[in-house]
Amino acid sequence: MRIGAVLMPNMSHPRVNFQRRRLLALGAGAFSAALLGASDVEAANATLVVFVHLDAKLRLLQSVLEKLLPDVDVRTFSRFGDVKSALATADAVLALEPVVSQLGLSIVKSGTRAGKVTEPYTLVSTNPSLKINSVSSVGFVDILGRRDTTKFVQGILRGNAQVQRVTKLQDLLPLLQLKMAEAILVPSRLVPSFREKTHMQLFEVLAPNEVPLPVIGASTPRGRKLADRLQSANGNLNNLLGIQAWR
Amino acid sequence: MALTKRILAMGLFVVACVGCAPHKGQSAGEAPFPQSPASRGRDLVLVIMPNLEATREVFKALADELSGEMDVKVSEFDAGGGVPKFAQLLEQTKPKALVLMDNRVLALYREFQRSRPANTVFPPAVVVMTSFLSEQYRYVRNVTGISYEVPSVTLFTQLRLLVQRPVRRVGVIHRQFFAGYLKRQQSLASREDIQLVSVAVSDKPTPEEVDRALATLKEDAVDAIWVLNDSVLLTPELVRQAWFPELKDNVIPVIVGVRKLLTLGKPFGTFAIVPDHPALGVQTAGVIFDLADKRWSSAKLRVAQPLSTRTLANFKQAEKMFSLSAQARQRVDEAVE
Repeated sequence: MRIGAVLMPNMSHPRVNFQRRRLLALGAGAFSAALLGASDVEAANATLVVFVHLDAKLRLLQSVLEKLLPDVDVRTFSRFGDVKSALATADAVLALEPVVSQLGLSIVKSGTRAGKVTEPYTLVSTNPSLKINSVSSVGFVDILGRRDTTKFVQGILRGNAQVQRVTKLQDLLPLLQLKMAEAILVPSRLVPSFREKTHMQLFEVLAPNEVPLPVIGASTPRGRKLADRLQSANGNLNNLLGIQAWR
Repeated sequence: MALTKRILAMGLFVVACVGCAPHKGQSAGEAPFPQSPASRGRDLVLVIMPNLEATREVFKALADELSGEMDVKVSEFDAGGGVPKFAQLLEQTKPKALVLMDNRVLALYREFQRSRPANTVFPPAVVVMTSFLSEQYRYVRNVTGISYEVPSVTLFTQLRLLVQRPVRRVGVIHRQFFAGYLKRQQSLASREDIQLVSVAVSDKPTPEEVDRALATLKEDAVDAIWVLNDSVLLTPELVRQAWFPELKDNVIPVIVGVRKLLTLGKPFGTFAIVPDHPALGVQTAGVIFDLADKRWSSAKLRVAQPLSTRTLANFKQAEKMFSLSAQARQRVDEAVE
């Protein structure tokens, strides 16, 4: 789903919407060129594909990125299939490291948190006797498609749990409420947010392996310049992405 | 009795179609019907659907998911072709599984099944985007699917994030026919410590009945009202003579299941929580993969609930009635004025 369609409900046809945004981006690029430095100019008119799942509506990330990069066509997705379709026109992709690697892009910037490029994940369940090695089904946001997401989750848990994929972080809580999964796997930093949203009693177990943080992959020189500009972005973007710095 | 129930259930159709209808300015015929992905001689899934914006969204995600592992053929629902054309399509394609979208397609499939000999083996069918599937699917053989109604527990959890006032008791009016459905929803809501207060009306309710039921909920001091997607409860006559007068001075949130009920020109719905169609396509693909893993047997598959939703809000109306949470605007997908 392209977030632009939500932000501009009158422009209901996606192709028209995209073309118009592209033109707007080009216009903004010409205007911005006079104001920005040389490397910024080289990144202008680039296309940034974003596939990061947040504890917020995706349009918030879209809005933050559009303000930061007014001359860039920012395209935000929640479904891996859409990312693959958009890859042909992308100069850069902002996503978790396994996604960028699978898409075959070279990683030019890595997000860090507490000095590391990975972060801990936690299994959350209503089952008080939940055990990592015997969990039967785990909900997780689909980042790599059916088979690869399943392998990825099984790798984090070092087990063979069945994986129930969802397209948004917000869809994980319903899996527990509707008893469609025994547990959900989420970044440990987001567990308090899940607790705030439910009256169910939740139990936690730390996953044995950590998960890579978002990175920026580039497919063109413009994409590399774009990554430089994102590195110097303010803290609001980093907070949304769950990182503290880029390197 | 079963036939009566089915006829009553078909009364739900109109409201569901409102949810599926093209947006303003776009008729169903404007966008082309989707193409089937290229066939590679693998197991075939046949999708039958009408050409609507909502069904196209579901199909796109479904086809993206499946086409890496299976062949997918999509066929436009043809009401005029009836059972013979349906039978011909199945005979020609011999699918491993069917995906049926929309009430009309399910009704035709049911008719098709009735026209076949009793010992016919039907391919498993995954039914989506139909009204109250959990009440209907038992009348069709070898069928599973995903309900189109967002479960109460999801609705109320979302609502709690949008309003400042506590949400402990939610009122709902329903026809007797839906007593079983409401009982299941009460059980689901209780998982989040929310009590569902239901008031039953007859299966052919009069404005006076609906008016009385709404007055009862008001007296009961519920924290919010949930309006079911039941077209029999939402006829123009009932809306004009019962809902509008009772909701005129309303000060509590009203959750509806279709966007249109947020913009009726008079106070009605304040929040609409609806299924997210691309995510529904992904979830449908998950059911197909489960069927494939079970060698195309739907025997142990239950009708699932939709997992992903979109939240729409009429903030202009809501702000006149009650206090919103600080993050309410960030938590909705679309503001409808």
